[in-house]
Amino acid sequence: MQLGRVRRSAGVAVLVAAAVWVIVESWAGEPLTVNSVGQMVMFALPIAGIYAVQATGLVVVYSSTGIFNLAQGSIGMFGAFVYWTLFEQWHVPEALALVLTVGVFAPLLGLVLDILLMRRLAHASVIAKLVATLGVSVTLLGVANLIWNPDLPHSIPDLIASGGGITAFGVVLTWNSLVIIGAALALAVALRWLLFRTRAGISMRAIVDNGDLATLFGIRHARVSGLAWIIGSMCATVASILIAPQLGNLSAQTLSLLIIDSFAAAAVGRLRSLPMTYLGALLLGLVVSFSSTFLQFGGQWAQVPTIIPSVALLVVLLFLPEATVHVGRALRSYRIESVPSWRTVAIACAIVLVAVVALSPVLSSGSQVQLAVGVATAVILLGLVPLVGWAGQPFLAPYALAGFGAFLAWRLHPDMPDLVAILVAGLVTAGVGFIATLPALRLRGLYLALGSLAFANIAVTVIFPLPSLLEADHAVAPPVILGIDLNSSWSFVIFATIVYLLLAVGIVGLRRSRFGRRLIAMRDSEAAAACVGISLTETKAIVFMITGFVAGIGGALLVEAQQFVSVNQLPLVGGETIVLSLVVFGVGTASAPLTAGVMTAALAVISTDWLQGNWGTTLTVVGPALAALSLLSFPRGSVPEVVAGARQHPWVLASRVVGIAIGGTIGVACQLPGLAGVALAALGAVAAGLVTSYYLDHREHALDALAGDPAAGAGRAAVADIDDPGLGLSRQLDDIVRGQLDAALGINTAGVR
Amino acid sequence: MTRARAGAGSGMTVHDSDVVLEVGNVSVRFGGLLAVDQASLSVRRGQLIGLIGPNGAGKTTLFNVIAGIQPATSGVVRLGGRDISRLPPHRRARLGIGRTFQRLEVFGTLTVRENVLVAAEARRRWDRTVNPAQATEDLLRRLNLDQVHAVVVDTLPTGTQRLVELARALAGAPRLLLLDEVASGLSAFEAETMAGLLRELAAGGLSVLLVEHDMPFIMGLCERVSMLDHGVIVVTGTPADVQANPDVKAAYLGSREAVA
Repeated sequence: MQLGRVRRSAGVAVLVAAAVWVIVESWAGEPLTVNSVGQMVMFALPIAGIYAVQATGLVVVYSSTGIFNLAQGSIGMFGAFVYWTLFEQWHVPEALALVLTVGVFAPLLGLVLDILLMRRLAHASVIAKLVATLGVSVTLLGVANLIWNPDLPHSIPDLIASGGGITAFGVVLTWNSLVIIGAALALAVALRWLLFRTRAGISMRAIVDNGDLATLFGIRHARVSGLAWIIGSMCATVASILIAPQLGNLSAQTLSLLIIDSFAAAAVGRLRSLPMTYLGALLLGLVVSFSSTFLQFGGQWAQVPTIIPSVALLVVLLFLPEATVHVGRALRSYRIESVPSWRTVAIACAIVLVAVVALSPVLSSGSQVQLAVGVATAVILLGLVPLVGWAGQPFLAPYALAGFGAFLAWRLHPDMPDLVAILVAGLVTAGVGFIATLPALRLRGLYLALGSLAFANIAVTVIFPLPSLLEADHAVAPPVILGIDLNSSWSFVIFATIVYLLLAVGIVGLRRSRFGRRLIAMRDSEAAAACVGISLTETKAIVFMITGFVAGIGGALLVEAQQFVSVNQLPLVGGETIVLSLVVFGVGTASAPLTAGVMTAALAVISTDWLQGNWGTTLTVVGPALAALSLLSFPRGSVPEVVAGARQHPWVLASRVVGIAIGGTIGVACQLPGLAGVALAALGAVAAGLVTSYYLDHREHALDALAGDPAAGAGRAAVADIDDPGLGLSRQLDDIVRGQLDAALGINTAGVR
Repeated sequence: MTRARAGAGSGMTVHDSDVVLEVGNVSVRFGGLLAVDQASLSVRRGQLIGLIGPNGAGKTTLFNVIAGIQPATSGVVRLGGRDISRLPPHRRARLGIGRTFQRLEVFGTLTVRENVLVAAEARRRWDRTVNPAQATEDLLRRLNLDQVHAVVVDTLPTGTQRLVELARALAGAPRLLLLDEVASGLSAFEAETMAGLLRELAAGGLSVLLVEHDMPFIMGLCERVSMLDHGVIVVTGTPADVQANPDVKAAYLGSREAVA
């Protein structure tokens, strides 16, 4: 009863103590005067302005479409590069370039994304939605690297290049800073006008308040969602163009990841309230400015200033009011995963083992290393299956966990037998996983996704590069397991595969256990799970530790496969990409991680052996993303579903394979550098995906109608479909829905037909 | 009636070991809307109490407050004399509150048997004597669900899903059962079977609080009925009293809004 309050007070005390300690330790010696504080505020304003514009884009899109746009940063990045091309390369006048980028390109990009992908995800799960935006983000990154060679310098100047500005408190607030502040204020005024004075804006607010009711009153979701994406895309582009000059050379990745910095501001607004988001942006700006004015971080802590916004997010998450248990079942947009029988598991294990033993000697030694890396990646991903697949918790930072295992595998090597070291790596990482997710444990899924990205950012930027951890790269000796020296790549591949299979059997056993049922129950209905006496927090904590354990082992295998350990093995974007491929291949099964890992390895082999230069790296980035996009255009898509579908209608599988193959072939064949090749490849893949999905949708309906068996369709459609209030209004009553309604009403349609 | 008043009127502790649930002056405010306004009621051991009222009257909100899913703005909830107002839902479940949901909250991707088993296994947390598998089989048989025990719940008709929710709630061996429109979606025959089952459970000492729109069902089943309107408990009494009350008719026919 009082425990909650005690815990919260203790948390506050610890945080304040930590903040005081950091401030005292790194105080730069600047005296606290009216002038210095005034300077701090002056510096804070433009920073806050950028955060406000970015976070506004996030909040507008999330509150009106339910999609948290992780691609916001990449959209802005793309806009900044387009602006660079117009202004620097083609010498279009600045004002015109700005209008073309912000007023024409950005809205178009937002609208196209919405129509092609986002709109179709309205009924998808939180994870599918997040992963779709991740796919967009990774794709935009890859495409940008193709068009604008990252090895060449690109930079854009301040909008107002002339010096000068307003002087206050002894500092000059440049015209450019004033432009940023002005842009943020103008955006606030414009949105206020749009939301309260225009028909479109009022529709938007109606949808935010009560989407179902708004639909009944004839408001069209599509129009509102399009508008939201246009606003979001414009916000992203404006923020990116404003911040880019201060970063010097334009880096696609840096610009994309900047979005993580605005999460804290959006979280203060609880992803809904724009005024609170502005307040959050202001506070965040003040904190950042305080640290740059009064604090000095040197040596191993030199990177601390860049992670302050991420730390701020974790702090905000601690103080967000506890989510009341969510009533309302999760929309089930995935097929019910069948729990494999032990016989199936045994056969699958045997097949995989035989395949690896037979295959690996044939491969070149480079490919063997790639395969070993693929299997290690698969182990890391296997850890996510109980967490993301069964518990439904969106966690996007697998490498941040695996990194601890990787470090320990290297560090413990001289001290203990390798097998023990690997186990210890897993156990320690389990603890890290628990601590890292503590702030988000009591919150709803989406915040966990944001928190995990902040955690990854902190880990990669500050924790892993510490001198006591992985400041320098180290060689990792080949492990000796049970007296067998695994110094050849192929023997290590077999060892890694055995580890994967053992863990996979354990994971399947977990799913069949009491705890596995508890996880599924929690995912299917948090409210009902709590009301039968299941502690959601405790369940999440346990599953996090399991994830940490498996991912830690995966990290250890990863560095042993490559025989060196480096921070560069654990990239943030790379982590997002492997989560993406896991979800594409079916996050709820023990086989999908291996498929995803091996596919990643295959892509790496293809890109290094067959393709040169940028194309190689780009393919490894864009490949999984394109697969995600084509699969996510029907959100229930994943490999297990393809297999299940293939059992019913074999031609389903065939047409999908052909579709994806066409996209892939066009992508590989069009090695034309530059915009034309990229556009063609992207178009080919997207078109193939769309055509197959369109074909499938209609073919399936037609077949079901022919077979006179609406129930078959009903089983396949999302269960929540008949709860859609737009039925019969904005959505036609088709045979599938009729079948569902009949089933719900208990009407036997067989007789009627 | 006198007994009922003593429990319903005050937020004080009733020194009566028979009182299982006591709700004292509970209010819930959503922004400007007072969804529940100073509601008080009590349920004794083995009693079947009905809660009626027009849509939006605050019945489900009151249920959520009792189960711990919705924090009350003010007021107190006691279970067996113990103040549970600040406990999270899973702790309340462990103390003996079981519930079903108006909009079904089944574990849709699990089978019927697994739905009940999850709850029976959770019960081992506070009752080591229970054998989850055995308890599950017993409940499935008792509710005639053994025919469909291996079916994934999302594919079942609504009425059967309601039975699954009831079986799941009973698997925790609660002292107090909160049933939110348990008869909706049931055929007349199924509703009668359900009523019989509830009487049987009540006779065994289980206290039941029901929210229901099906008047014949609730009037034939409950010992006492309270009517909630605009968050206020307007009338409490025997089914006959409540049916005869002019306020009840007014609330259901909407004349209240017409006047206001």
